[in-house]
Amino acid sequence: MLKVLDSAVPIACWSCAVAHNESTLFCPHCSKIQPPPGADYYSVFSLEPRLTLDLGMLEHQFHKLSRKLHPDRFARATPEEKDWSLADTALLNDAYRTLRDPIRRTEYLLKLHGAEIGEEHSGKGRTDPSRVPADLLEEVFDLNMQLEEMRAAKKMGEEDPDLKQSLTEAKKKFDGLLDDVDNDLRTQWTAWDDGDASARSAAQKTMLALLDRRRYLDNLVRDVNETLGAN
Amino acid sequence: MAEGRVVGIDLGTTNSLVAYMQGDAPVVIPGVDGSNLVPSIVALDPIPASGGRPTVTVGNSARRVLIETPERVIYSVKRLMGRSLDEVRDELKFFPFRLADDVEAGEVPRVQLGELRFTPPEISAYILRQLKRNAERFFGEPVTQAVITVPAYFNDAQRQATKDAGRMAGLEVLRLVNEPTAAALAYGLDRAKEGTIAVYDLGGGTFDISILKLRDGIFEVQSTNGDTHLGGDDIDNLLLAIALDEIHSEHGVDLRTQPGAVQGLRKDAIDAKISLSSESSAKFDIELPNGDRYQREIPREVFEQLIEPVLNRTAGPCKQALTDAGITPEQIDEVVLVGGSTRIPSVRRLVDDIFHLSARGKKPHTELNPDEVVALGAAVQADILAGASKTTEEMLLLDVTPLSLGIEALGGVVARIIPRNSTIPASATEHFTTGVDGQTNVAIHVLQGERELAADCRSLARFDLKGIPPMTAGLPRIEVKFLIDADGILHVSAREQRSGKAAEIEVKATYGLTDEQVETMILDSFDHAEEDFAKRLLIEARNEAETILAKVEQARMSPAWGALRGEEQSAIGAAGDRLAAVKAGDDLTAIREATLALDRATHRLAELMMDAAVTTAIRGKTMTAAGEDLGEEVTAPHPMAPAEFK
Amino acid sequence: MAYSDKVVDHYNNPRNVGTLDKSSSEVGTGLVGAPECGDVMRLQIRVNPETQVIEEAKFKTFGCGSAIASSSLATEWIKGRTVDDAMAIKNTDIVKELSLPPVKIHCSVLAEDAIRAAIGDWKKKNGVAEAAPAATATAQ
Repeated sequence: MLKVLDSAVPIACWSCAVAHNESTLFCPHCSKIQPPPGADYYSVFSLEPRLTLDLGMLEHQFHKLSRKLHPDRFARATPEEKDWSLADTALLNDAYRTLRDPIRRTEYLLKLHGAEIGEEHSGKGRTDPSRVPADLLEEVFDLNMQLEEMRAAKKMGEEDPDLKQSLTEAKKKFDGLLDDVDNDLRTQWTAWDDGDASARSAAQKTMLALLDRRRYLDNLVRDVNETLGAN
Repeated sequence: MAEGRVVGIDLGTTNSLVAYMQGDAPVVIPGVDGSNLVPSIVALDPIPASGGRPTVTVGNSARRVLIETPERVIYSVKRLMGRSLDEVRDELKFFPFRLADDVEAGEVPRVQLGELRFTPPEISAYILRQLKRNAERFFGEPVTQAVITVPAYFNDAQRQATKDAGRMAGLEVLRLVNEPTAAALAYGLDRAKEGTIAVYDLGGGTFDISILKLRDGIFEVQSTNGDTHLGGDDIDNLLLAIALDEIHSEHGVDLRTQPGAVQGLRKDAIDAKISLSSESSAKFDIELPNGDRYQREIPREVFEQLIEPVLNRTAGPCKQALTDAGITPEQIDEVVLVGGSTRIPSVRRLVDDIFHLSARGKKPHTELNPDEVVALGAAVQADILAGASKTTEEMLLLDVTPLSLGIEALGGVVARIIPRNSTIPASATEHFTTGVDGQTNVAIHVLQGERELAADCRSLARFDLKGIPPMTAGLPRIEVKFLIDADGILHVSAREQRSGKAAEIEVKATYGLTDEQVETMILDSFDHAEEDFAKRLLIEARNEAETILAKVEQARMSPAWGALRGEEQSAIGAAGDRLAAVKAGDDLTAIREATLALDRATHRLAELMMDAAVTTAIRGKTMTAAGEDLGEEVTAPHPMAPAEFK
Repeated sequence: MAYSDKVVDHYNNPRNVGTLDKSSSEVGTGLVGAPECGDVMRLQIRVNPETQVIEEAKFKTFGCGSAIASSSLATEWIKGRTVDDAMAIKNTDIVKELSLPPVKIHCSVLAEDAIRAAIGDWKKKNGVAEAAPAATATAQ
């Protein structure tokens, strides 16, 4: 479940002893670095937990916080401050890595809301077969066969232009499908960000299905790119 | 805490350098011989007849020993850093070094050097100590803190080994910086650059590619890739193999069994390689032990064909780095070339090709000496860490981890916990439990690499979590935190959450040197203590005096001595007597002055001897003669042919 | 730490990789996918119409090592069994045999699904009812 963003329990700054909010990285009073807060990734950037994010703003914040927190700024500080700088910067970097990527961000926020994502929920029960449409499965399998053929041909130093042509077309098609999924996801973001509880729950279900479909397509596009790119 | 200077060190495969920030520009600190480059060669002098510890020489003076007594010399030790026994065995197929025969599996391998055995970090520590001394001589004060560069693609063990070497040399390593990133720092210093740059770094033994975004003084690495087994050494080996094969087949002489001769030939191969960057062909012309001559012309086209497979191996990592950064070659605004091997014209053509440079009217950056740029960047980073400098106060380097970090799960598969190209410091938390009732230990196998099966990744460390309170199987909830620090080194901490026994879980890495081992390998315990600094300067000055006196004594036997005028001979005699008289005393200045005086008096003698050596080398190019002139021209930046790139 | 040699063995030397004639009436084809990781697995069987014994089994899997090992093991196990016997194979048997870690259990699920899908396809082609043969007998 989503952690409470603003802890009600104030703690005293180690340096100036003025009480501050637990989720802060710096003492608001004396500006000294604080031990890593048990904060979620959004509150590291003082952001509302939303799926739609201003990435330019996020990068700006990331740079601003990096300048203050990075271990390079604490090379000659006390051992405690060094440790905190390391831990705080790791938290900052982990948060930035997750939030700036639309897919990781979506997975993260849905997980905070109790969703089980990816391999974590497998094995716990039969997966819903309706989530992988049969026609997509056929297509995926055929494409994989073509990829294998092309790789084998390449190993022998030959290249079948027809095969390459058909792979290039397949790549276009799957790139397009991937774009469609991403567009659908973005639509759901808005629904999730702005919707009430029931709208959220519907959006969450749709997004989980979209994320599964995306993983499929993503693997394919990656394989096609690798095979085509290794020229 | 000491607030002394922080120097930047490039600990290279072939050459090493130390640099510092002079005002607002980084400069390389020259050695006592005036050379900026210290060849990464370490030689063990013969053990003195009187007993006692043998001395170790580093750099150009060690190079001579390479041909006379190759079994007392080690070079390219960087290739052995942080490597396991099997990996070192593999490496040594290409080098004349021997593994110590008493090394056991699981131990850090040791290399036999004369009568003694050294771990790779110890060898590197000798090089670092030399650089430290060069800096101390230059500043006239102790230097105890440094930034050291490593290839971006170095893994955890290789980084840890480098840090250990620093400690053994009496240096607190404030930061390990990736070489391509350091180069970017050196280039990005002079003007407020913005945009996306690629650093292509082909050194003696390693290849790195890094893609960085520069904005508001922040150097943010987007992706990095590389090959820790790819560099100029491989090109040398190709030329060397041709020569050895042809000498064997055409002249029936198998030089492979003669390490000294192989080293001489390697030197010739390096010369040929270097001259092929500016000339259209190069020649092997070697007198063989049986009196035959091996003559072979190598046209540039042949050379380029020969090395093409080696160079092409750099293309894959470049493309992967672009993909990982999510950009196309057109989005690269600038390319920086680093490493001596980037002087080779076909390397430049390849880089042009990969990044579509000339098509876009661009040229790669080569303004800074590719041999020095990494050290210069290290000095910039050193300045950033020291703080309190206007020049670098706005600069910040955000680097990434080159390899994914994973843990081995049951069944030999790898669960990835920190993906490659994550900005460091980076962390991940995993939970573990026990499988047997009452189990108090859990083993965790950490791996670095991109493959799915543990067997295909590099085993980074095995950690034993000990002291878990005995509970029913599956009940303990052990939270393990993995943290990659700003040096790219992994730290693991664990706590059992169910019982709250936080600190009692011991995490023990089962690789590399232990802290205690490193402690015993610290080269000079008094290197640490600043109060001993004056004493050490005195001892060094005496050693230097001894060395020059011995050399002069030897020179009296040479034909060059006879070519000196009478007054020159007596001036040398007088200066020698003076030095001999003061060297036992405690007057540092007197010893230094007398040493300098003797050095000046023997200038012409040295010149004559050098001339003679060169003449012999040109005339006969015998193996020993080749040894005498081994030196400057190998390391000196060799002239580029500007016409090539207009 | 338990390191499953069997996974590695099946991964490096997969058994029964290949293709059977899809159009043959004796062949059943099952094509399944795991949305969690994007794996896709095709398992084919050739059944003797007289004995209902699976005489040949082939697979083709695109996916991780555990998925390949799971399908390789599945084809080994079903060969020589009757279709009804083969239906009795559970993913947990595969997990046990290969010591699959929790995150890879879905690979074994996939293999079980593939067996069922292939048998289902064969039954459909040959007009064999989905219900158990015993039930069919009483209905007559």
